[in-house]
Amino acid sequence: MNEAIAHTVIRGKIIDSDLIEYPGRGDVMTFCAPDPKKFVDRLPLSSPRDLADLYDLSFEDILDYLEELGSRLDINSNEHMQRSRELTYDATPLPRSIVDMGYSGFGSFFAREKIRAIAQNTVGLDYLEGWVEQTMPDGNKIKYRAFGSRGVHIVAGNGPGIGLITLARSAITRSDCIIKAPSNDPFTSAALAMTMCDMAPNHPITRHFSVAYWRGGDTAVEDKLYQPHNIEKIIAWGGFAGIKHVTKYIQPGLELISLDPKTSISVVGPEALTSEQNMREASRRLAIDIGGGNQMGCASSRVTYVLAGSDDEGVERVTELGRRVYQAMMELPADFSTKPKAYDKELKSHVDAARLDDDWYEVIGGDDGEGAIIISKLPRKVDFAAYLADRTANLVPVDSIDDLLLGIDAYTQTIGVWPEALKTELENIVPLYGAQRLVTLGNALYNGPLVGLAHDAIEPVRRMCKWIANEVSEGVTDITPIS
Amino acid sequence: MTTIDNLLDGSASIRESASALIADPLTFFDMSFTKMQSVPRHLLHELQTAALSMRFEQQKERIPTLAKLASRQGITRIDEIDEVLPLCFEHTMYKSYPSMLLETGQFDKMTTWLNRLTPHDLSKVDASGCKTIHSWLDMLCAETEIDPISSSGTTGTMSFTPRDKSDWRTQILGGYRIQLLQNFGQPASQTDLHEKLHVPWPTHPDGHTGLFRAAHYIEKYLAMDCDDHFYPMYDTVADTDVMYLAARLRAAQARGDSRINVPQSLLDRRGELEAMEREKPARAAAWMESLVTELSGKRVFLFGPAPLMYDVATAGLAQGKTCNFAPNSAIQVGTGGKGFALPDDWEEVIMRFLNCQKNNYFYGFSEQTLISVSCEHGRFHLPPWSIPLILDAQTSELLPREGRQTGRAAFFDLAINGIWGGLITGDKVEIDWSECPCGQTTAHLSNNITRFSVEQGGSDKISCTASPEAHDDALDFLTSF
Repeated sequence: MNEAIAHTVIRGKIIDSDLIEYPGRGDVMTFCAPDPKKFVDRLPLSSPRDLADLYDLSFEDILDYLEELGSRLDINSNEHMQRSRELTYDATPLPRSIVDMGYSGFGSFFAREKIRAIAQNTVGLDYLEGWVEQTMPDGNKIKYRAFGSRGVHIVAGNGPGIGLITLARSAITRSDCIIKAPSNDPFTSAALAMTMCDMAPNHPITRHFSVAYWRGGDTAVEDKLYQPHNIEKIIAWGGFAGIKHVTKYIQPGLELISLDPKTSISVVGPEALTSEQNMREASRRLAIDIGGGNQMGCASSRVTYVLAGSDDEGVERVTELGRRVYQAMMELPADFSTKPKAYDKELKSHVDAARLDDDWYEVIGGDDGEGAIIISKLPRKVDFAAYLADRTANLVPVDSIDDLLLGIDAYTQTIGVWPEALKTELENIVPLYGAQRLVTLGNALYNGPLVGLAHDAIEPVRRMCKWIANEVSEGVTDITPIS
Repeated sequence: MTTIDNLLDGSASIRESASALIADPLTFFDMSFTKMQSVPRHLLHELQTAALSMRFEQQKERIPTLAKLASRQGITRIDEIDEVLPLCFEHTMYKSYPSMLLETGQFDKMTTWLNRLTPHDLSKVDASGCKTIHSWLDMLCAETEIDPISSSGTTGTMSFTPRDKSDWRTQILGGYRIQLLQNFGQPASQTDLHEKLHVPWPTHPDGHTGLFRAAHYIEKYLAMDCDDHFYPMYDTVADTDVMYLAARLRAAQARGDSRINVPQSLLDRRGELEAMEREKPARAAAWMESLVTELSGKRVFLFGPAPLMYDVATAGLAQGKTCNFAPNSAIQVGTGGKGFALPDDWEEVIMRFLNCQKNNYFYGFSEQTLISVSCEHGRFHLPPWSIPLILDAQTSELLPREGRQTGRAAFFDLAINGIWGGLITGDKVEIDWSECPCGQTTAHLSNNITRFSVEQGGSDKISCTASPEAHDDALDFLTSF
């Protein structure tokens, strides 16, 4: 019997019967999960009115719940999380030490003031907690409030904390949350839900949180679940393959919030190459943004444009910077960045080909699958930039901001910039092409796009809310039709 | 000239035979499918090992990229088949140039790049005046031994494989004429070798992709260069640059980007794409008519990718029309393994329209000359000049060359002259080294050949990171409407 069970948890009840085997990561592992046909009817909230119990909670009650939950998520004492982490070692392409790092942060994830700041900055506590009144120029008053909604969250699996952020977002907006777990991390969100069951099985937040695995696109489940009478929002992370299945269900009454797949870059000014000290600082900051979390996230840097000039001298200096970045990346602590578990084969074939094309590229490292820095000798990123992963980055010498704009498109999320002053030249241009977040180089993974405000420029937390207006026209008697 | 008969009767040594095999595999096997497929296994192994060793000796200094790779690996000679694996190229080698060179029309530098992948000397070619990809490939073909294949560039990057004219002969004459027309167990008849066949062709009659350029050689070796035996659907050459433009437009669209990065002169030709689409139904209808009427009673050699043939077949059937070729015609219709969305009954529909019983299946790809034809037991037999090496799908370790194995296919093509023969494919195959009941002596593949890329795209893992899968899926997604 397969011991790797991805539990289903529905509104405080744990289900581990009628198991079906699913393929996990490639051919490497399989896991079992309860037959979704047996429980799909129990997944949705039976009536939208059942959201009302969340309104019996004050915001402080919500913070109390999350704080208490956070204290129970400590990996050293939580058996659900320990078991989940053990299974995740096999399910994920991430190396062990990076998985450990992800789980080690759970205990402090729901820190009270952090959650309060997220609620305040993403939606606004006033709007979450009551009606906010505004007076229009004609004297009419309009009151607004952000209500929760019923959502299915198709979450990504390339980091174990995504279930936690989904819970936080749902709790602060008083939403009903159903997580569809991904095959590359089918365990962690379920472990979270099981901890909630242990802690407070009948608490409204527990009763509005469900986690299940079914194969994405399984029409036996999705035809039933993805209906406007069951849910109002589908919050889908990741690529078209997943979203493709979902789009056919979108109709009036059922909205798609699409968190598109993203990639991130860095921009380094010529100052980085002018002194030994600057060179050291820029290369260390770059190594952190490239190698951190093994370059698994959407905020991880993959291509770096260096404004050093694309002539021979520029290429030579960027190559020197590249050597230092490689060295700094190799020296990162193992729980932050380490040799990849398996180096991507397609990427390897591109890197190997580039290595033999030394007219156009210089490849630093990479012989042992440990990661590599590829220097372009033309002011363009490598044509296989979409494959860059497993601690492999491309440094591109460019002459001007215009050259680097070619590397920014709708997929670009974070741009790490050094030195800080260079940002003023970028901040009003790059958003036109698609970039969504500027950070100081070395901070791409700090906060991450999740805790940051806009999350890929679309403000998903605001969009998870239903924005209700209450218009007060007392004393206004003008009955002229609006022209 | 030494032939396989000399090796079998002891009048030629392994070394002499290997040398003759490399020089001209078709003559070495006496233009006979039966002789190709009857070499005892132990002898074939010896012959292949010797020929491989010679090939490396011959090419290692002449193909600069191979020389560099061998030197990095510290390999100076090859004595056993397994030793060639570290020197096998992947498909990425044939598209490793920076695409900026194409975008900015630096064809002299493209020539320098391509020159490192072939033993033929391209250094005399002055491509600095070329304005288009198509004219650059035309020039290479006119002034040198190579006749390169470009890919359709659907991922936004075009590959260029500098095979030469003799390689085309090995593939089309050896693969199509000898392997597909002859029956195993029977000697090659003069008719099979020399008869002018009628060749309907479901697309452009020439161009530089593997499919379009094959038309030129199919006309040459199957229709024996007779225009009146060749029936292409279009009368114009498929333009490489317009295809490149189409691919770039698609890729940019998927990125949510209006910057295409192609020369303005090419962008101005966008209208040609629409014109081609407009013209297509009338062309297809006329071609369908000629299949039904002009080719009635004729011995036909039809090679057609299923996505092209399906629409023609349904249109014909809708009008109540079917073909009536001579019974000894050869029909080859397949999907090319690229995962096109076709109705499940595509083959039945096409064969009903063609009014033929037998569809010949085979496997091949543009980086090598091999054509691997299915026997009556549904097994694809490799030609004796193709050495299979099968790699573990996870670890890429070489699997034993015996019994039945499943993994990533690599092949060494002893026959190919224009490029290095070692290639690791993206194909997942099941191969069997044990004897096949059909009696052919070479190793054989199952007909279930899939691409790793397609297989992996089907899993349910989700990541917030934009990966190539996400991009490719975006392309599929956009074109599905």
